[in-house]
Amino acid sequence: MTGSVTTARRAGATPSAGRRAGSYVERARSIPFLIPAVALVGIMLLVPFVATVYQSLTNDDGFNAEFIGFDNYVRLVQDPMFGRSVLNTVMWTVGTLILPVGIGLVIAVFTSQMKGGRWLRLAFLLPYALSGTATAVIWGFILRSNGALNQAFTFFGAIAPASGWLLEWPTNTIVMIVANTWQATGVAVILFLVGLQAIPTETVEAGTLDGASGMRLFWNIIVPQLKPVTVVVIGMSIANSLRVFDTIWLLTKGGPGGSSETLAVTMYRETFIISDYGYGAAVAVVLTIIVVGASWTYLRQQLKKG
Amino acid sequence: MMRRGTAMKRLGALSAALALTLTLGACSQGSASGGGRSDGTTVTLNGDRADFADGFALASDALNDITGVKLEARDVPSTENYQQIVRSSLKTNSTTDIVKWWNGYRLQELARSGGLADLSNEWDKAVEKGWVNPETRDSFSYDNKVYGLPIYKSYWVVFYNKQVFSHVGITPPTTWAEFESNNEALKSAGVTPLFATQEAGWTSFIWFEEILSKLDPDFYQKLMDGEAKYTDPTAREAMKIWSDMYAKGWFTTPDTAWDTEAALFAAGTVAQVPMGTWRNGTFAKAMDESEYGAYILPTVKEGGTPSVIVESGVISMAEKAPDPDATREVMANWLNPKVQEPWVNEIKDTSANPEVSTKDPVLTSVLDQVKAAKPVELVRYWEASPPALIEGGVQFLGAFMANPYPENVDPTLEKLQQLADMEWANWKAAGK
Amino acid sequence: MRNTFLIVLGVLWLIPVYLLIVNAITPLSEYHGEPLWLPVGFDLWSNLVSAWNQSSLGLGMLNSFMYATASALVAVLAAGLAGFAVVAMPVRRPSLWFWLIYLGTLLPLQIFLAPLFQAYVNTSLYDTSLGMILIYGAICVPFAFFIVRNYLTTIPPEIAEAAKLDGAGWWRLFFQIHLPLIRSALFAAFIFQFTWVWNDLLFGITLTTSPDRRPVMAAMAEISGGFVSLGPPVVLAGALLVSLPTVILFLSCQRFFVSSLKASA
Repeated sequence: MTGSVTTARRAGATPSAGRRAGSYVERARSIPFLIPAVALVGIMLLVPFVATVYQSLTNDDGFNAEFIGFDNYVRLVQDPMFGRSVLNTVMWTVGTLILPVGIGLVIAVFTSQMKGGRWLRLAFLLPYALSGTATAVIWGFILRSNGALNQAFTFFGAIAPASGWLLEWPTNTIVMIVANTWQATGVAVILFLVGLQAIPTETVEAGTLDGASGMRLFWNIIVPQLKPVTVVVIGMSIANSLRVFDTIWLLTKGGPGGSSETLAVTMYRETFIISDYGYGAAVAVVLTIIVVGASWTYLRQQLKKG
Repeated sequence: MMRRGTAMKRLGALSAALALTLTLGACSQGSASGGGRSDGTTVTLNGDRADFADGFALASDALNDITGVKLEARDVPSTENYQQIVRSSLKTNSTTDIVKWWNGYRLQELARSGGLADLSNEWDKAVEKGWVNPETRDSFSYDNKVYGLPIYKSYWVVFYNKQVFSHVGITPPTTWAEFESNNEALKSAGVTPLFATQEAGWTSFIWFEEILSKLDPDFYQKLMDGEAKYTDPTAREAMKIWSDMYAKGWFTTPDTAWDTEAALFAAGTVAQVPMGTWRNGTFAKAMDESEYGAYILPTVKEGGTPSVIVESGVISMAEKAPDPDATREVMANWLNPKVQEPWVNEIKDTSANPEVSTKDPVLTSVLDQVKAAKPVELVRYWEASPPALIEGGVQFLGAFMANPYPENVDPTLEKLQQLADMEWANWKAAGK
Repeated sequence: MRNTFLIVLGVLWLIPVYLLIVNAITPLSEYHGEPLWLPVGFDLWSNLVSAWNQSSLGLGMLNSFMYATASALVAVLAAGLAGFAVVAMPVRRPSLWFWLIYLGTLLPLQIFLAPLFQAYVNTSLYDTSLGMILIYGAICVPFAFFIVRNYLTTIPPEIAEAAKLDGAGWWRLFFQIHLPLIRSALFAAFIFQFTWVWNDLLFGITLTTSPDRRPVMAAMAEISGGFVSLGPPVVLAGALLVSLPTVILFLSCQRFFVSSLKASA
């Protein structure tokens, strides 16, 4: 099986391309395969989303709703906090693309090559298995002004930053990205591991025989072979980073004063705290457009090759 | 490598298990849902306070003895989600008979939606029996009709750690000057004098309301009603005092976790905590009641009008309550001393029923102080203005706490006033 | 050199877990409001008992286990079928179907809370197991689908061709040829979705209210607010207990990913 994988990849076009011109009856056969997934997602997720889009055109406060057209969107653009929210969201996306994906790749590849690597790997997988409450409490313990990190600073005789890690922007966003990385790297590691499985041994051996080792082996042989799984990891990171909520909410609630809010947090605040469902829905729509846009831009290229 | 046969067998087994699970009562509702039984013996109550469960159970027993109706309390563990659930279900048939809510403008917001039943009759009868102080009617009404009954009447006081105080050699202050010198002494002794945090979001208004109301209770009331401005000199003076207190290092860091408050207080790391008397229940579990006490913060200026911030959560009846008759029975007897006594003794707070006494030493001392000073009672910030204004307001106050410098006072007050202008306009536009 | 770096990184990574354990075993009486670096007493058991009693954790764990297993299975199965259809079967506009399903994972989850609550109340799905499994399953499908679909593209079409020449229909093709081949992707997807459902908080709080339907994280939320007087040690002890199943799942499934990697090491 492994011998023919490379030939299949070089075949280039999508496996289904040759069959796209199948008969109608043939195409209809695929319907029952698609129905469960499409029905579940369509009814449970897409329909409520359409309802949300409509809601964004109203001034729904949970009790009464009147159609107000695009007023919410106009208000959104004029909101001074909106710009900060978008900036934080972008920071989260960049941070999540670099850190968990990068660290995950390094860990997956190198621990699979070292002796006892699977034990070391446990350290990175464990955080993902912990609950959101545990993670938030622990990182709160670490990051608060009277917390473990500052205690460590004092212990080593250094001076802790005066204003606290969670109290000032951009520090608070950055440390929360680190806290999130702690958990998110595990997913990337597992996915890269799955991808490493698919790399044929012969390819790696051939590379080693050619004299490549260490970093060259890594960059020139392994990384390109991981392309399909990298697509999944990056695509998923884009989507997740834009929707991060729990970590931020439990550590700072988007504060102080909304300085660490991202669009997902703003949406939650407007909907569940201020009870301005229409405005919150508008933020949700904007966020979705950004997420879909970013994902589509990235995946469009990748999917063609897939 | 697993053989295909085994894989198929395992898949089959899993699918069978799945199917079995799904058919086994997957469609049946949980034991605590559904909108109450309409046989007239139980009414349902929804709330967001898991710590009230035991209290509600005792109240239910008392109510059962008097009216034959039991109270079944449910709980949503997150306040935000609770608010969303009430909003979504209040005007439908799936609402619980009773909802726990807040008073003041928050109650008004719910009432003006038409989802709550008019409880004016029950209120008037309670007043007749002396079960509630008629002067407090306003904070439970909308459009002159009563829509909620108080579940407690908490006074906002400063709890203090008696052991720390005696160790440092100070006593509860009776003047502002004493308050300040106490704090200096505590600071010199290496104890953090005062607890303050913006970590929980809402907690950032506490010192603002305390300082402002002790500076000028009249202005506080006008500001809350939208008749004065955040940018007025009195508000500025209060903020300057607050900023000054920060400069002297009297507060805990603003990101201190709120759920560490009791532990820090019990350990004596923090000497004083401003809180409603409802916090007494939590403190009583962390310490012995002889180890702490409470005092009302003195006025800033000598001879100023004494005031105290008051807070009362409410229970309201849903207009679409599944069992309106039984619910009204419950409402008619909620303030009955026979129900209030076990209830407030369990939650360790003070009742809105002035006839109900408490055995708790800390609460007794607070009630004595109130009786002696006869302070003006002010509604807590959280309920004293339109909710959207308050939610935005606590964010600005929280930002100030993170940067409590004098140059930050005016910008904060300006933002608050801008928000106030907008939200008062919105509130008035939405109706009475 | 590289290995040392990795080991140091691993140790750093474990520090928060260490703190979690130290503070979870601290007796409540020794907890003074600030986190501890060194253990000052061992009272894990009574912390656990407090957490267990106060929030009906047992029922919560049972419920979560049922929801997580059922939803992840449903999702993985649906995703496998759909992934197979999109990649291996003749479908007009496969990318349309892909986006239709993948869109589900791009939407911010909080927006579903209010509309779903309404819909569930109207259809009597509120506070039912079926309701929870439906929404969890729906949320799990898109990501599982994404993983499976991409993994399927690495399988050469010759295998399918050969089987079809032998006269295999689509169903046989899927169950007997492709399903075994994408086992590891399906498994990874199952583990992720199981963990996600297990750790979910918001949907559990919004769509259930009885202890006998409430998933475990929502049950835990009852003891972790500031109003309740149980301190962080109890909450952390509960969180440790509640994370145990997913931790065990992760650790025991590592073997599954690693076994074939030994060959390439």
